[in-house]
Amino acid sequence: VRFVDEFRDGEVARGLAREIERLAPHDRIVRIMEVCGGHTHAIYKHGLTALIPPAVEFVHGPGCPVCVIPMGRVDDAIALAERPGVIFTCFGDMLRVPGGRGSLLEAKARGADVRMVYSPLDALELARRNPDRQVVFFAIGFETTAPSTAVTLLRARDDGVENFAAFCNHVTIGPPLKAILDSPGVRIDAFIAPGHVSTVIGTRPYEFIARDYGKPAVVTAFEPLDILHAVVLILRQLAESRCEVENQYTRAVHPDGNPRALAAIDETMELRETFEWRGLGSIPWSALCIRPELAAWDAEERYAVPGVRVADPKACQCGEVLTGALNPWECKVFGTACTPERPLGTCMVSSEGACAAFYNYGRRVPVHA
Amino acid sequence: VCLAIPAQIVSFVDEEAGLAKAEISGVRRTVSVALCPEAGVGDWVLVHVGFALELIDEERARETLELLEQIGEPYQQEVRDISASCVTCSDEAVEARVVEADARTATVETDGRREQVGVELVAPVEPGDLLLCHAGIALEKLAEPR
Repeated sequence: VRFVDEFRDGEVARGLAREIERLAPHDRIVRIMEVCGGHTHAIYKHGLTALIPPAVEFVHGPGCPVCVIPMGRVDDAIALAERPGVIFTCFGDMLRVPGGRGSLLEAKARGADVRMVYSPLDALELARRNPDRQVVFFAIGFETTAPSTAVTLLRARDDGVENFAAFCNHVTIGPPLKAILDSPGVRIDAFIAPGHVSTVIGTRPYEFIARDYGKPAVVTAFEPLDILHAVVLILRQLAESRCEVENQYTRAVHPDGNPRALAAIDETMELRETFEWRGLGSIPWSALCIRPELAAWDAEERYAVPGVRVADPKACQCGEVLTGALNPWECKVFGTACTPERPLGTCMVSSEGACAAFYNYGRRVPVHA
Repeated sequence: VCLAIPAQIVSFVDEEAGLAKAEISGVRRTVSVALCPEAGVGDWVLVHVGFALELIDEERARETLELLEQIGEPYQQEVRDISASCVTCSDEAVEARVVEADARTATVETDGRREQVGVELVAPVEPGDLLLCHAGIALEKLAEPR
């Protein structure tokens, strides 16, 4: 309990920890998947695993948007970045993700004009300031980030910015959760559902988890106390043999999400028939592409994107880590061939990836593991 | 060009996480010092894409800055990119208070810094509103903290 005093409210944390202790079963282990990389990061940063009893385990889910991008898409991105006249823009995390032909950072070192942006709106601004260049934005992320790309596309259309295009790799949160629940040997009892994704999509898209799979799901904010609170809500549901979708993040999340954000996504993007996920394989209707009406701003339509498929490196076990089958420290190459400085797999690249979070903050393997 | 720019560490944001505030050509921003953990407040480091890559002495920092200023445009571009960068990056979302707003864009303040966010998805907004921002866009208007 050495971390309790560091919390914003130590008394509340102690109360929650006591309640978790009281509710935790004595005869089995409860495995809770925190879907979102932001939660994984918070769990390790604040040492929450030290606060909960051995009967409750966190399993890290596929909700790090960088970690689920397959190597082939990185190679496609590099091919776009190396086109003459292109300024290729992306979020900082994505720069170091290795593809089959190295990373975007290495492409930059070879001479490609690759720039980090914090918002797709920055990329659009770059296009306005460089009318003689083509600016391509590497759009990645779940429903949290898709509205930003959507708004940017709508502004590009409305303002007639013709030298801007998005390379769309947006993904949706529901289908991978279903794929994990359908995978053989799944060992998850409940879900901590993402907070920021849910501000956009609301709580209803998780209802199938309770209805069809009989497992609780709690939409949760990102403070350590919020996560402990979610564990209490989940353990209460299990103790009372209930399974429901509960909303712990009522300050920001409405059951219907943000209808305007959903409308902006719907106006600009539609579901892809299939999309390859790192470690999870191809999942039907799990990603978004730009609608034909906006083809002029779709990098995949404007340029011949190679559509590369690359098998994940053999030694890399990101797939098992992403589905919760393996803990980060159980991967063969964790901390040896694969480190944040020289990542082999994507889970080690993003600060929200389970492996990087464990490497940076934890490296304390639970005694019961 | 693959520029690394000298910056001076002014404070630590999160020591355990290796995050520090560095001043880069007059702009303060958060950088990761994970790659040079020996860096302390007042030290000069070479910063590239948000990472402090190397500890350098002040004399070399000044020389490098002079050299970079002679390079001209690519350096100015890199500094502009850094100035334009905001804290609403990647998959995190931050709470920010509206300072002023029109139908499409608001100036918001978070952690003592000001930046611009798109507000189409939550409009109308007024000064004083608290917004949840991600990647330069306000996703939701927030109720006041509990």
